[in-house]
Amino acid sequence: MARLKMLEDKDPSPDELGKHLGEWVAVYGGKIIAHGMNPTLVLGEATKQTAPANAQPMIYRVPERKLLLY
Amino acid sequence: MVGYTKLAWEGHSDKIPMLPVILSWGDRTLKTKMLLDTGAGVSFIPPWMAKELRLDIDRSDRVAPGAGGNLRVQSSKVNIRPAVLDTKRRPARSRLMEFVLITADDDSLPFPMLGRHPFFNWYNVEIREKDGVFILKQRK
Repeated sequence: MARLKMLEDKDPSPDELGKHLGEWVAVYGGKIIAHGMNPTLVLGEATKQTAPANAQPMIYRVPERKLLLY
Repeated sequence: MVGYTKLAWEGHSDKIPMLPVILSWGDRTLKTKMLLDTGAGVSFIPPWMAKELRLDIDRSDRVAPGAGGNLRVQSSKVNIRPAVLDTKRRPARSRLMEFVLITADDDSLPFPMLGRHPFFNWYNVEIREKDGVFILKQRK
């Protein structure tokens, strides 16, 4: 069995992600490069930014506040 | 070892076990994070992802019962590769997930969810909640 560890993608800081609760964020190089409620628009905007580097952003949804511990 | 996704807001903080993955179909790929959900029998993705990947969708309507009530879903297949490296720094294998459910709308579920079948047959998953990490061990 091979133990696996994370690839290159770094997460933005917890504080940075916390500004976007409930939103889709596109992340590249550890930074949020696009965000919003419409994932298709977020991905489109982010892909425009990463295209010159021939790279693909990671897009994921930040949990909504109601799904988190207080 | 994969770190939980950590959040901090207004003096609060939390962490979520989300696995970075690369979904693909044909020449389309999408990098995302899916919630590791040991309570879900199968995996779910929202329709915008299915459209982005141009998945072949079985249009028969199904109902997936869950803790939050019944969900209207359709099914498809997708290739999935955890965005992780093994101890020899080799990328994880891409595998065909022969059955993934696509929710009726983008907001039916809060995240794409990685359920037990077949992912947890491919990997042993050790969750270290207190340390905020989980460990995937690829089964041979």
